[in-house]
Amino acid sequence: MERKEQIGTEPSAFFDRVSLWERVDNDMDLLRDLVRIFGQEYPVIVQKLDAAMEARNGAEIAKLGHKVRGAALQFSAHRVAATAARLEALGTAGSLDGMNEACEELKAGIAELLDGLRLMTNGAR
Amino acid sequence: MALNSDIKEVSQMMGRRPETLNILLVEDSVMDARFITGLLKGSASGFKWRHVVQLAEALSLLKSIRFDIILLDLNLEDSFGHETFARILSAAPSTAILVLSASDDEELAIRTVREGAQDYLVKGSFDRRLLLRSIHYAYERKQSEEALRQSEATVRSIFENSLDGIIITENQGFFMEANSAAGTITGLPHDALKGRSLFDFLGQEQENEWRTLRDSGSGRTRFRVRRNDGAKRLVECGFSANILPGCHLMVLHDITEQQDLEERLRQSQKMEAVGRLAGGVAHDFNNLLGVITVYAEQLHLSAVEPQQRLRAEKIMNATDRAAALTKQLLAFGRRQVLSPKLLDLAMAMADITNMVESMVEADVQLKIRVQEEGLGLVYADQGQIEQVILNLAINGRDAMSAGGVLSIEIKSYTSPEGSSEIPPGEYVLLSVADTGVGMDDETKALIFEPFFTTKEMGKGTGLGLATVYGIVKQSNGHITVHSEKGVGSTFNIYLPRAAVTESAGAMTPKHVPERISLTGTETILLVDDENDLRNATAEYLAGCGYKVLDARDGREAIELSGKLEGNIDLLISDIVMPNVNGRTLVNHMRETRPTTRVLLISGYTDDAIIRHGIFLENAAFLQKPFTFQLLSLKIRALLDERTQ
Repeated sequence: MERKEQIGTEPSAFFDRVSLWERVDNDMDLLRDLVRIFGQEYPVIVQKLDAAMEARNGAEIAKLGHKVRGAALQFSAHRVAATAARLEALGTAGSLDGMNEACEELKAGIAELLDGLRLMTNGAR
Repeated sequence: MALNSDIKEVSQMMGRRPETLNILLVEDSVMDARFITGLLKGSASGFKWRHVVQLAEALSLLKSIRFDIILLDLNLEDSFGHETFARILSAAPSTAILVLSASDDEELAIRTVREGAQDYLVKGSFDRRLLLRSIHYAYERKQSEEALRQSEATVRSIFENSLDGIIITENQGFFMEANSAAGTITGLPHDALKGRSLFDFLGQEQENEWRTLRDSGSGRTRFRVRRNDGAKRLVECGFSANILPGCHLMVLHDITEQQDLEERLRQSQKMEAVGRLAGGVAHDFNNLLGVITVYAEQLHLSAVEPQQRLRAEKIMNATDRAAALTKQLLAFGRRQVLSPKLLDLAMAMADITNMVESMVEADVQLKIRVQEEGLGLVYADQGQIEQVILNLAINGRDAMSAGGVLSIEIKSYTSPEGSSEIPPGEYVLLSVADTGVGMDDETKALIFEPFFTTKEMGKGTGLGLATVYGIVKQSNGHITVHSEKGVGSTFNIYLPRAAVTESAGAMTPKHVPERISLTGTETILLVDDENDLRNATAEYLAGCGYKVLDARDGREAIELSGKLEGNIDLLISDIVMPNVNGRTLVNHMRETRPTTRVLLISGYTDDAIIRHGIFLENAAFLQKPFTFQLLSLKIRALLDERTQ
């Protein structure tokens, strides 16, 4: 409870910080590590996603969407996870309709999630 | 490593979880891997893990390391979805697999769990508590499954490899399960037994027995199983009812061979007992025949009227036949010692023709053909050759239950150079052929084996042809068999032809009851506990001019010898006597009167005498019953030999 207070309880539109904090078992070091890794992976993912979009590579888009979904779920970021799932499904189906929108929405969502996570972990410091 | 591995094995065998669980984490997301290992690291439970990001790495590790748990992400760089799971499962079927996936795919989750995954966790849906619980449950469940699988494999292995037939039946006797040995007993592949009824293999008369057994709950009984090919097997059946509701266990032990062996042993022991009995009877019978023979002979010699002479001859002929019967009795008991001599097979055949004729059934035609000239002689024991002919004749007769022709042929035979069947040389060939049921090759290969018989129980000893084989081999002969099923069999016996042309038998005097000229004046000590025989013999020998001293047993003979100052030229002594027996007497005489010749007489066979401890060195032997003429010849030969 003591540490929970340190991360703050204000609601976030991008992730459930209480749920996340419980899942990492109130382990700030672990959470920071996760955020750091996510921060390192994010630009690579976005780069790959752009390349796949340009190449209209549905399978790659699905694979990247799946990967982002996994990460988002770990951070209890359900809205980002839902967008990633949508992109994954579109990629799997090879459907171009709405793919650009979904991709852009996902990239924005990831950026905001990362900001929120950094805020959470820095605020706790 | 080996020690740790052993400790783990023991721990697992004892049903305890090892202190540290060895985990393989297969996850291509660095962040997810960090998340999971972070949760594991903070746990109080002991974990060791290896992290790989590709399936290929995982498969490679699994070849050399046995993990307790595999935490598996399905979507990897080099593999995707269900295939990832399938390949890991195939590489580590005994390891608990926990699937971690970002896909909340119910269908995939159920499929992987159904195929062997212990759990399917969706990323983002579990915390440390849930992860650890899933890991521990997965491990325990897998251990239980493995133990159960191992137990089932053990039971299945016992079931499949049991040398006894194991059958599970339902209430009505239909087979639910049967193992290979049950297949062997019933003559069907075991997988063809499912659904068959017990009563397909048992006679209906055994149905009640089975029902009684089933109702009694458990027990043992014996069944005669009729195999699919018609052959019958005797099985001992252990039965346990309702090992599972409505399932009954039958364990079948095939005791056919064991039973046969026991039966053969009983038969052999019976033969041995009969043989001993025959030997004993023959002894007493021979003594009695001895008395009858000598008195009949005396009657014959003293007869005035032709009628009286004829009557005495009839008595002597009857004793001859009785003596022959005794001889057969001894042959039957195999108590005769081989005493080979030059033998004319034609004469031997003539001697037993009547017996062969009396043995064959009315619907069997007997044909005997003997080469009349130039047959040649063989070196063999007449009694044993007679036994050979009789055994083969009996064998032929038994092969023709519906009648036929039994042919016995004796002729000379020259085996040419290069013959593969019989070594080159001159032989006398004895052939015994029947037109009976014949034999297949399998049977033919076994017929000379002791105790092998195709005859029904109680009809054959299985020793007949074995004895034939032994005698032929002992006589340096050869035997061949030609047989065809449904046509008949021919046994050919090749005995080497002797270089000489006159048999010893030709020297044996015939039964001509004339007062012989073989008389003498020497002193003979006659010892026999059979008073009648001793008296008659003494009277006869005295009539021949000999000085006869007689004694009732060895002790009396030793006393008499001690008192006598003059010579005793010949000791004629029985062997088995009360007080002092023949052996002691002979030894005494050899010490006190070394020049005295010895002639032993006995109703026992020479084999029995040897076993009695008397060796026939420097002592002649005459088996009772004997004729006076034969006795006189023997006496004269012994005494004349001494003077030469």
